[in-house]
Amino acid sequence: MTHHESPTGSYDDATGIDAEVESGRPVLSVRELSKTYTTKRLIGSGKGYQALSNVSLDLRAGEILGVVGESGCGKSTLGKVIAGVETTGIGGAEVGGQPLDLAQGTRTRDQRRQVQFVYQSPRGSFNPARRVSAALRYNARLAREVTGEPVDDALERAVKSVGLGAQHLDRYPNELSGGQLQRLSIGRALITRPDIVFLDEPTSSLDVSVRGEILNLLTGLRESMGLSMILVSHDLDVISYVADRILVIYVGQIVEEGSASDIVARPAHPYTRALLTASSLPDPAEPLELAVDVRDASFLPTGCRLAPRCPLAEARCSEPQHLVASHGRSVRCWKAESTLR
Amino acid sequence: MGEVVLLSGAGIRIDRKALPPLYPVQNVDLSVRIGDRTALVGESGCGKSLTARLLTGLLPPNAVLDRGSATLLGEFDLGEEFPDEVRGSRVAMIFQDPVSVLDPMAGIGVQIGRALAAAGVAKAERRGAAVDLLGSLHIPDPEEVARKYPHQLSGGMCQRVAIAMALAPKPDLLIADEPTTSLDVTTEVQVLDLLEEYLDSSGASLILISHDLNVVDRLAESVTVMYAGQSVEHGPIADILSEPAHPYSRDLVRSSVLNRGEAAHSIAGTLPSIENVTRTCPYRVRCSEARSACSDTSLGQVPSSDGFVRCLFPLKKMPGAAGGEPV
Repeated sequence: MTHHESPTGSYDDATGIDAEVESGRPVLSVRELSKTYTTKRLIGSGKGYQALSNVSLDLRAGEILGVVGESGCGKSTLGKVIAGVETTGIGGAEVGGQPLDLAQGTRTRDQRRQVQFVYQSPRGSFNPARRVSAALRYNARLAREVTGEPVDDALERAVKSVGLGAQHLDRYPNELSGGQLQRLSIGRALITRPDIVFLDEPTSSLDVSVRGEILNLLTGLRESMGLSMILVSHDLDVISYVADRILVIYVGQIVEEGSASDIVARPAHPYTRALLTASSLPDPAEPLELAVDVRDASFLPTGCRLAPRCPLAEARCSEPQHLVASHGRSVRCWKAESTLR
Repeated sequence: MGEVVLLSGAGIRIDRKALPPLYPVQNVDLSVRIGDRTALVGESGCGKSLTARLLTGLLPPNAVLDRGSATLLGEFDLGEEFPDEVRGSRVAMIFQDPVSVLDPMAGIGVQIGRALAAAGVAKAERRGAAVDLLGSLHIPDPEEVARKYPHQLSGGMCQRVAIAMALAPKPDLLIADEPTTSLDVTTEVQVLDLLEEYLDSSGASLILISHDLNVVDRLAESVTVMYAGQSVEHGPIADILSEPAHPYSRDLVRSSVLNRGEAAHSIAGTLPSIENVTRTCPYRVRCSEARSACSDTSLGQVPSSDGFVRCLFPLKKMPGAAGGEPV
């Protein structure tokens, strides 16, 4: 298999944003974000579940940041807190230099315009009883406030940017295929000329025959508009195909971060290695399979959270592990240093 | 008993109130012998799940086998009443969503006990047998798991329990409908290993239904590719992945591979309407190889030594095909 040997150079150069990426301020930066879900109890305090623990990330202009992890790891929560859908997040975030309120989820109109969301299920994102144009109109009005662009012009621009025609706006959701609806969801996000688009599993409910169409659309948008995206998926195949950089999350913590090609070629964290071993990508140099997950969801170990499943675990793994940057990578595993060297 | 499952030109009709009927399955040929591990692949809406439901007698009440023939375990004609006594004993099914398969009000041990009761295990032995069964599926601390309720377990663990229940009566035929689609990839590998272990030790037959060719490649030996309710190609998995004969199989294989830096493949267009039975090729409107003959010639099978293709212009000469003429 040769598909990871193509140097990142040719791939990134095509976007023409390398220099900007290096020098410019990130379009989104998140610092030490934690989010705890609490279940309400009638008596006493409710049980809490920490879905995110001290997550920090920078999204650079014009890049696709891939976030990969298993269900329940907090990857969707990350997007929801940034978008203000979920509240009571603890930590700091900035979009375009302006602070973002994570505790109350309050957003100014301009921040709503700047950060857009695309959800997993295209069918669930549209009201089945209304024409799809109705679902796009709210964003078109947001755009009009900021840019003065007439609503109908904005709608037409949106459908064209995702390769559909104005006639699709008058259809009902049941008259469109899943792929077309997902295009419209992406189009809806683009109406407001956002700085950041957060895509939550945009291909996982689509057939593999349509998946390529959506992935090509996303890479095309990065190239043509320099759009910055965070793409969340459980599917490392998809993430490694489109993303420039990858964050690997396990039980609410970032366990590895680095450039996509580098992580796929030399995964350092045992969890990343297990993900690669299980994916259809070529196996890593040292394949690894995890033990059965019997974790109690409400209990978080103080040490490495993967240790109960990790075949490499030793006594030292019960001590807290920190995200350590080395060799262009951040890894949360004391053993990874030797892997990277 | 030669064939565990034999479908020949099978079609399913769904009757609707005040609307014309639908034909989601139109022409499916499927032959599964004892010990075969075969897979049905295709896009959503191609009729693969409905075919599985036909084989387990779980068709919706307004759906009937209306064309061709279907024989189960060599003795039951599925055009007639489904033999309920074989379901859950000789034929078992594993579903996509394990959480909705399990009874939320019953403990895991009790639920497996019910499956064991159906398999004829005496009441006094059921609890122990349930725990043994969980242990044999590499579930750590099986006694503890047997005491729990479904909501206390992860999705992967629930699927293991659902598999334990399906395997409890030692079925001859296991039908797995997207068994790992709702699971995480690291868990998916473990669940596929479990199924493989059972097949190795029991010699049972498997029909795996999946849209994911990587999963199919891990577990199945042969594949039937379905498109718009028809079986369009059948052959060994390695042949279909490396050298498919039907243009649809080729396009499906291509779009499941992502090569960084290259444009991803996809198939333009959508599945045709299922309101009519098509005798011509259903794929011709999306097919890059289509010629004028494709739209006016009714379609037969081109057989080969170990499979068939339903295409007027297959991409390769079928090995062992007698004359290569459509039959």
